[in-house]
Amino acid sequence: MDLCVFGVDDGYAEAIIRGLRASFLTEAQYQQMKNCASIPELKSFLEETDYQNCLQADNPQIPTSILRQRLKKKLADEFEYIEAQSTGTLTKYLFHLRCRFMIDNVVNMIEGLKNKIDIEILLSNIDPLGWFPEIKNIKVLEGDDYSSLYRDVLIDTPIGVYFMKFLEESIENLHENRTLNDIQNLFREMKPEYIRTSLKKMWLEDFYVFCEQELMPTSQEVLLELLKFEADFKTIQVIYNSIGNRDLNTAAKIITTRKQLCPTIGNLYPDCEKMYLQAMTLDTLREAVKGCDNYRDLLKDAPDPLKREEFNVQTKTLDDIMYDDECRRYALAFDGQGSYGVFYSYLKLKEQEIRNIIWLAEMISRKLAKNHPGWKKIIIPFSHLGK
Amino acid sequence: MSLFRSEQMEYYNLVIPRESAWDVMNTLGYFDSVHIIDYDATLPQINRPFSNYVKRCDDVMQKIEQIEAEMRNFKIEKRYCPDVIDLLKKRNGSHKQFEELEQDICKVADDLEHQQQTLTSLQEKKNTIRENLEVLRNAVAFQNEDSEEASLLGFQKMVGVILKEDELRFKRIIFRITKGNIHVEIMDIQEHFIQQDRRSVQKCVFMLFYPCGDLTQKKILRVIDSFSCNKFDIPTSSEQHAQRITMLENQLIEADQLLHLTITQINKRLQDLVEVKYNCSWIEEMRILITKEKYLYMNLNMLNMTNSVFHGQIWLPQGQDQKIQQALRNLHGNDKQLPSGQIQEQQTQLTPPTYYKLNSFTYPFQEIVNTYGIPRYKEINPGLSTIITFPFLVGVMFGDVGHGLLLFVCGLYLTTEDARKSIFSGLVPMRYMILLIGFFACYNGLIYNDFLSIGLNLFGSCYNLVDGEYEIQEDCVYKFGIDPAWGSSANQLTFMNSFKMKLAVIIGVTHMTFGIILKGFNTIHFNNYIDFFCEFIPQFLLLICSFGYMDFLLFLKWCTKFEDTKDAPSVITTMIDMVLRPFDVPEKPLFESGEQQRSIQLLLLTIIAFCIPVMLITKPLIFSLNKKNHPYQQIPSQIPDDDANQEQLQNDMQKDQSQPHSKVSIQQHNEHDDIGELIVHQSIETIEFVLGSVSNTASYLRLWALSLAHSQLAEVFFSMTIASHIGEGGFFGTIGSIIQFPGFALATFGVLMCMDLMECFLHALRLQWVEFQSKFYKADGYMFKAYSFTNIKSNEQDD
Repeated sequence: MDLCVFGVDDGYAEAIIRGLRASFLTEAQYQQMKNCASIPELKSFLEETDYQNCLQADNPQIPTSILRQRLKKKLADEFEYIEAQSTGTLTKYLFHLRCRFMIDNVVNMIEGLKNKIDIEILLSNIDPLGWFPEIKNIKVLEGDDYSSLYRDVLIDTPIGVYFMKFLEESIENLHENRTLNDIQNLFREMKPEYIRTSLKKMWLEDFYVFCEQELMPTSQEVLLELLKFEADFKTIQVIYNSIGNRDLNTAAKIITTRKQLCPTIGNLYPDCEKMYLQAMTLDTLREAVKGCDNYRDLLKDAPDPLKREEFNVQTKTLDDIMYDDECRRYALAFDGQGSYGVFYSYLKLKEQEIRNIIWLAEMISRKLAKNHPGWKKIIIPFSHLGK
Repeated sequence: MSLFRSEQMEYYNLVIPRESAWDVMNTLGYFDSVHIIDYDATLPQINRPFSNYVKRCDDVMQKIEQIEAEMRNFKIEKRYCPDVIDLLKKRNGSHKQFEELEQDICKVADDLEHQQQTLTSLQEKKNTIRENLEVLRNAVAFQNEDSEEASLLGFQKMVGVILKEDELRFKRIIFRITKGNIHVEIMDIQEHFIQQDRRSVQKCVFMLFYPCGDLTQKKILRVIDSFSCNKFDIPTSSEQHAQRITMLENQLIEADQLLHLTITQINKRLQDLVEVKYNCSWIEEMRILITKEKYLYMNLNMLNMTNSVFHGQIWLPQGQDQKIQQALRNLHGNDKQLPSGQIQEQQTQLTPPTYYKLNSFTYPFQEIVNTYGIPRYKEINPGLSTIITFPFLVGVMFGDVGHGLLLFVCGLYLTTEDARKSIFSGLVPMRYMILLIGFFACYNGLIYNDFLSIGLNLFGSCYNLVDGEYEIQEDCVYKFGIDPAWGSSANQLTFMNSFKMKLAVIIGVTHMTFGIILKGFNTIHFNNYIDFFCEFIPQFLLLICSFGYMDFLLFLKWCTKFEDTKDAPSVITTMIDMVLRPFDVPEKPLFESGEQQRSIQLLLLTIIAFCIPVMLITKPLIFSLNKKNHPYQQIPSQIPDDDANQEQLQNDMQKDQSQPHSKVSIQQHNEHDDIGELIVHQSIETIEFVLGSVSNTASYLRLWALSLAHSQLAEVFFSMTIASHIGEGGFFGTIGSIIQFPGFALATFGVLMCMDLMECFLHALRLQWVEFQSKFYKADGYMFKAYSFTNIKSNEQDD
């Protein structure tokens, strides 16, 4: 039924997205990009693609960071345009998508400030997709007092909710007779990466609930499926990365941290929860997730996290494997009709494309040999569909 | 003749030494007749020898666009170039010219940018002064008793300006950060500020009262800092306060003057740029020259460079080679040191491009044909006959003297110079077509005797009105068209319908026969005698013997005088009987005797029956026999031959990829599969033709249907609006018709002149494409694309 009325409100936005499908670089274009000898050549190649307009003003020897910024700006502009064309639920939905980038931005800012990087540089490096007016006011932050940052600045922002939850949870975990100092210390010691993962987990759960409650059945079907996989991947990642992690020295600590960071949605939760929380080696993790779909296959090729030191560029890391699998799912979702999945997929696939370009730009600027395995480490959106 | 078949093309090898590449290309650009073949169309632009020049041209172009954008901001109009070629000839330099131009433009653009920056910084300065001034002025408003008291109590003030849109956020964050211990006052500044990006924004003055304390102050400063707003001090005494205000006011006036000065300067500078030097503004001249430069290098990039010599293949229309060779020889004048380019004729297997010399009269008609498909090289171009047949077919459907005249006048207007500048400039390329449609609509209107749904009695009717009955005069024939007396007869509609229907079929059969005859000419021209005898002759006979005969019957019936119309035989019945009961003697013969008619019809039927198998099987038969004749001799000799050809073909294909649609003329007949394919193809063609001849003839009935619709609509509009008033006459009739006239005029314009004309146009298009062109037109050629500076247009024409 909802397929009949999908076009009424969201048809135009969907049509634009479908049109933007043509802007994805093709395999042949990637091949050409790989053949570029220098950054100026890569830039002039990109100027013949859809990225033409966003690069024209820059000089040929463009640094990768600026290149990334430009590419992201283009994506943000497109997204903003679609957002402006949307109404009702779609607007809310698109806003939710943005929140992920906002979290990234805020955490990046915090991380940068911690490392005493100048705020102007940080501001110029933020992801335009996750820009919101209050982000400038993070400057107000004094020291490492996240709770005051939240209280003063982030409370009014869209992602304030997640921060509040995060703070509450963190404080709850402290022992009974806590003092203000304890709390401040806690936050001071907290790693930005930890904040990011927990915030994203909250966002994911929140977004899941939103999709479940507000979207029409077709969108729900597509999105919930995607989000479940994403949650599972996140879980696996957390477990995987915590195996052999030196900072978490006791088994009990590992398990509590994992419990905090693993999303409470997805195919693995709650059935396999007990198993994976206990997993201390790659094999036990494989065993834990074997009940679900093709996760076992995914993990089959993953390198052992205990031998982390031996990793190099050639290693196909777990992230690469997962990106590859996600990319396939998003491409499938993109080609589905009448669902909001297409917006989500578009964003994800474009992100992947930007990652690819940046990766290639890095490879080129380092002048690596053409037989270097790194050249193969790009995942081309939609390349799975042809086969 | 040039429109009948495309121009004879010749294939040349172009060799240019690098030193004179620019000059040669520059010379060739003025000839309107060089088609350069891209040697490798898949090669990206960046890998070509002159890609950096193209890039530089693009960069300069961008600069020009920036300057032009600035001009639009200052509302300065530039003059477009009326004659690009003339300008290019006047400004013809050498390849070094580009560098000069590039420098000039960069300098101008940089200067302009510099001035822009000065302007922005001035603007900013002015904004700051204004902000300060506003703060001071508003501060007076805050200076009431409460604030006096507050300062006595140890409260401090902080004043500044923030964006209006940030106001709420600012208040909230201040509240949060100091837990509500701060009093915030906000005063809007009425006048808007102009930002750097020329956006006008509203700002407001804020004033904070906070209790003394370093911590709070630090916090507040940080917040203010994060909003990137300006903070100002307020002098303590009112005397100083007034002084400051006057000082700032003076500064403001100064800044304003400076600003004004800069703006005038920029304006003057821009005015200089639009000054006319040759025949257009300087900036436009630059744009054209740079476009030419880019165009030249783009085309030069199509040539293959090896060892600093450019090799390329070009197509030339026959007869142009002498001129070009002459021009190339004279290129360096007396200076024999510099080598010039050369062209050499070459044999090739490639299909030449299709090239017609067009003028503004033939253009729209050729465009109609090209929209369907580009004619094959040397194929008969339907565009020539379209010049008359197409407007005529529209005219048959749009037949009305009044409407036709209106259209004709429109066409006349479009041919005038004024029309180019009016809003109808889009229709100007179509002007001659509209003119002809108007003419033929008029002509057909005269035949139908229809003037805005009223008959015209031009030559004196042959009927006399006697006692309300029409009586025909003896031996009288109305000179031209339909007698106006039919207009008022009771069976007018039946009569007109039967007349128009017959006319439609006659026109249709003639049109299609013409198409088939063109096919005959094509087969003769290409020496394809198999097609001539196996396709053209039987097709021609089939159409003539079936529907040609029907047309003949129509004429015969018109020429025969029947005493009682009930005795007149029906043509349709005759035709049906001819097929279904060929051996019966017709009851009502159109010929003198039924026997005669029967034998003629039997003969025609025999011919038709004979034609179909000829079309169906002879061609495959001849091909398979040809193959069987030399089954063993050919195979060994063919294999190496084939391979060589294949290689050649591949080479050619590589060279020729610039025209993906181009067909290589030698077709590799792999005859084993070919026979089967040919049989299938031939049977489809035959069935299509036989069925098509019936359905296409029926399709021409749209001529009648649309003309009927047109005349009926015209009649309805006339009778519903002013007809009754005109009939009434007198004062009230006049008043009534004046009131009703706008309705009539609007309906005539909107429905008949616009919608109906469009419909007639579309139906004529269908008849042209489907019914006519399907008879002979292959349409698989590709366009001749001349490398010519005439392709460079002044901006105006682009818009």
